[in-house]
Amino acid sequence: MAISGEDIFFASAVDLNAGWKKGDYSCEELTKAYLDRLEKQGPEHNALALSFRKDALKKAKDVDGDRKIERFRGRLQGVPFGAKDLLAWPKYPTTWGAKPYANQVFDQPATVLKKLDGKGAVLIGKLAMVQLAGGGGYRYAKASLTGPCLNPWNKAHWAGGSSSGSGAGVAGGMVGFALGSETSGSILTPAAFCGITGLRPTYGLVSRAGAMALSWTLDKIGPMARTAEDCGIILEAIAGSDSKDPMSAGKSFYYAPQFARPMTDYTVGFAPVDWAEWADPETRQVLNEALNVVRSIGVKMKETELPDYPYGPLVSTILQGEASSIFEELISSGRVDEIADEKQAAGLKAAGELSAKDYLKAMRVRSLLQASFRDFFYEMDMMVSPSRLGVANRIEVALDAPRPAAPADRKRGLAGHIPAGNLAGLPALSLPCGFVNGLPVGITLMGRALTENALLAVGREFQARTNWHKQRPRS
Amino acid sequence: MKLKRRELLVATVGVAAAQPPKPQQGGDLVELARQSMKSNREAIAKVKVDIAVEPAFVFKA
Repeated sequence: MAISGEDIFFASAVDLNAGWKKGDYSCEELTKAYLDRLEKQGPEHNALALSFRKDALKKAKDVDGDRKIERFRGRLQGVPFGAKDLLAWPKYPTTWGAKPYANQVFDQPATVLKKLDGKGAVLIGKLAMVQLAGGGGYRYAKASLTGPCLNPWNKAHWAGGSSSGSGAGVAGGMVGFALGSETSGSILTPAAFCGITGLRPTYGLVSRAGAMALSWTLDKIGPMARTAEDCGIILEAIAGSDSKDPMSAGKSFYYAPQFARPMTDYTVGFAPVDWAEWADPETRQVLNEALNVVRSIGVKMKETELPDYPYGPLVSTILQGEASSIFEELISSGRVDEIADEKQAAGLKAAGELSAKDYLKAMRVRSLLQASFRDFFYEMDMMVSPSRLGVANRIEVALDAPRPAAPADRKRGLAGHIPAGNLAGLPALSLPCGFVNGLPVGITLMGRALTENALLAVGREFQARTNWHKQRPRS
Repeated sequence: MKLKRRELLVATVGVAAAQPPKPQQGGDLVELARQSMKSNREAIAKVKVDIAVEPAFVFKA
């Protein structure tokens, strides 16, 4: 059966798999349709690093062969997907989004891609990213080998970073789902800016073997997809122990919606100041409506605020200390000046001067912070906060432009959840929750370590009551 | 007052020499990054850490 219309490009991974399994289309037809769209719209959005057309179509034929002999490999079989270009795949360049690595080729696949390949998902291309996942601190959206990644909802705006192409690719219907990575905000931000669902897993749950390292103690790989359910299924496929990743937690993940507790069992923390004062004024109405939907699910709501730590300085110091070691050769050789953002190059150079004492102080404070978060989550199962305080920036705007100064007496709230959650290694789920001036807005649920199933259960209930995740940009 | 070409050249060069050299933009940005690291250090220094607290090296969920 031929594929017609656009619906197929905005179907969930679960539905794409179901259609293939039922025989509505072959995997080859589906893959070809997605490849055509990715190769057309990807470059238009600076979202595509490299198409894998030839290998993807070969894989698709193999997957169709599986169906003939009824060899079913799970709910991602036959689904075309894309991967952030920091994940290695043999024979093809893995550029890390940066000119000095434009011709880099690895022999072995990243563990996560190998796992998805084994499940019968079809890798159709590598997706664009902010160079070096933003290490050093970039000023402009154009800090990428492929240029600024344009938001499918409005090309004058950025897709977010650093998993930019993964966000734009899913939002634009160019891939059935994508993998991104997060050190501090790189899944949640493009998920929120592009109006998709993004899951940052617990630190150590997903192997980083074969992925570019930016910070050994902060990096995580996670799914970016259309629904919370897709994220759960993808996480199940990519999670698990891996001897190639020294920080692997040695845990598996089983997506188990059938065992979800009643919503009334969950307590969700929130801070009124997030929604009334921290969020940009134009987003507040949409965000408050989303908070009311969370309430309507039946969960218990509890006012709270983050433990008091200098989250931004801590995450910056740890990231700089580790990145300056990881990219030592790039910096000392002078090739760092080839990257596309002068501020980022300068940040990497300066990071080399960070003292061991400063790094260790940050890591000692991090020990305290982790203990504080264990206490924080004694009183609640998860917290909810705006994913980002505003909508996607215009592409030409400097990303480090200072925000309007907050009143000194403004409460802390939960607005610092991105650096806080990454320092503590906690899982978080960003859900689309509305639009402001045609641009998506999202909320984030964050919970204690290894409680992804709880976040996904609440996320699923939220998406059962809303249609924001089903909206699609005009092609 | 009229200046001869030679006098004009001397005056112009003199003005140019008196100007402070324009710093390299890259150098300015490195200095800005250093300032940011210093601010981070100062913010972190405010957190009191007991001598027994070890760094979060073993960091597994």
